[in-house]
Amino acid sequence: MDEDALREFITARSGALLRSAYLLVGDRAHAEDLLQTALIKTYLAWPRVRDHGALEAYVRRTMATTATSWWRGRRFRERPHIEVPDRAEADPVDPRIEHDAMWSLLRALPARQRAVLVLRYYEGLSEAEIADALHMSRGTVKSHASRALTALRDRLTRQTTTDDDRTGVRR
Amino acid sequence: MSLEQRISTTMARAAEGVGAAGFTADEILHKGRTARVRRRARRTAAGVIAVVLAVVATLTATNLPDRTSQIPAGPTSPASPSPTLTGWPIPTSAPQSGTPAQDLGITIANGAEITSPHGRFTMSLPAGTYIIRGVHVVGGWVVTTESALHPQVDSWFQPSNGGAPIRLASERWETDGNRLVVASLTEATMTAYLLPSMVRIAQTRIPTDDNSSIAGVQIVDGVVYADYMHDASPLRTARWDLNTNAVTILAKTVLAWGFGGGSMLRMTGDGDGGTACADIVPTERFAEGGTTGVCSAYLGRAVGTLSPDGKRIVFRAANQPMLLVDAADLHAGVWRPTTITAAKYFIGWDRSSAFLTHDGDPIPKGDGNPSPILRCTGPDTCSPIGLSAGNPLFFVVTDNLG
Repeated sequence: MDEDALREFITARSGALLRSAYLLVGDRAHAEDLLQTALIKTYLAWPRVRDHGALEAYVRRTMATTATSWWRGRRFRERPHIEVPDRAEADPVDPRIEHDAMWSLLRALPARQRAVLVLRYYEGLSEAEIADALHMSRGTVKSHASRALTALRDRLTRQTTTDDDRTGVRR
Repeated sequence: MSLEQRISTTMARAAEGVGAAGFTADEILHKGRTARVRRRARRTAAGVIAVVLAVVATLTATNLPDRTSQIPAGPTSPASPSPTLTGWPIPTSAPQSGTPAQDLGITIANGAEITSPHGRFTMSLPAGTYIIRGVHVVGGWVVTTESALHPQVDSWFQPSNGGAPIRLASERWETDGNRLVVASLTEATMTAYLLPSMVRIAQTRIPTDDNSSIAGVQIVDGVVYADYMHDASPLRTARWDLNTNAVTILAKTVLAWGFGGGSMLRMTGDGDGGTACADIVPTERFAEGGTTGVCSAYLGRAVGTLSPDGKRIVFRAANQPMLLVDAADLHAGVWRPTTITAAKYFIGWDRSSAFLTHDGDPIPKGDGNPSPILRCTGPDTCSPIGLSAGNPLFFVVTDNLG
């Protein structure tokens, strides 16, 4: 196994990957767990990864699928050896974003809906690429995206209405 | 600005402040190597010689009439008698000095042999099969096994009267000691059986779409709670009343993490890893809302287990130390955890509400000794339990039937 190539990749790309992980899970420490888990999975799969040029896409896909299955995965009886151990003191994220209304709404979305939006609007993937990454049909991708956008619109409208009520604005 | 643009801008801003990763490439490579060694140990070992199964044997096994002829076609097929395996294809664990497990009321499964404080029982399992999980129930044991020779996991009901083990349709099962619920691995269907007769008493399908499957089940006072998931939703919980056969879907995901002292650890959340709430409630209040307890993002990622006496909880989450929490504190809404310093991995509770743990990999590897299995009465008061050579390399503890 060419560990040097993987070491070089992790060193160069872990910052960018961590940002994606953060958007997927909405929590800094959790994002670091997610990225470490995805990188370890990638290490184990490395001999089977034929196209090393597509390594980043592989890690991102692993993160997305892991993020959407985390709760489900933990439901099963755990065995100690599958846990990813130790370390994860995270730097606090910019506190200003914590008060951003849209970010709060994005974080409140169900994991799969959020993953679809992250892949679409942050990673810039097409519907087909998202479907491939998340192992779902294009129809399901559309359905998740549509539900997420509808939920965001509804909640934003409700928020605006509430704010207007508070400030006495009439429509 | 359109909604899509706003999403894109917000995500870019949120991602900006994340900073650098708190680990190095070499740390990941080291963890990867360790994971690979463990995986190989499991596979080739196929690993494991045996499994310690600490079982809280609170129910009395009784010899009930063998009524296996009433079992429906689904979960049956007795195991074929197996030749005795004289050795396992991996190193066995080292002996460990300390108070013998049986003297502590701990039941151990070693391969196909179950050793409790009351005696030994050897299951008739296919060659190379070892127990990885078990629960002592009325009239026998319900166990899950792995094969050292094939990538195969099976579950069984083993009558204590010496009858042949009965293979279950799925490894996804749960029992309250008197009833057994088996959930399909591929569909949202469940079947309930009476123990030890294994007579089928009910069957249902959660009213959801075809892509749904059940992640786990719990059974409390004749009511089954199943968490399930399908493509278009986060985890949800269905309530199945075995007396009326009625199925209802709960508004929030509700999970039970252990029963003890007439209470249970109930966790509720939105099911996708966000904030969750934990509380200690009487078992009959499982599905009720209005939790007191504590809510936090940590709990959304944590797994908790209630002690058999219902007084303490161990919480653990990835990359976090294990925490010991007083159940009364939690119920009062006070979050006052104590970090468990003696070890990192939780195995389970014993019958006296001490917990079993270890500090690393109990699998002996070429580069070091396996870590000892400890019994802890407090966060830093632990001592090794006595085990003979050849005991398990990893193990799973039963649910508390308390």
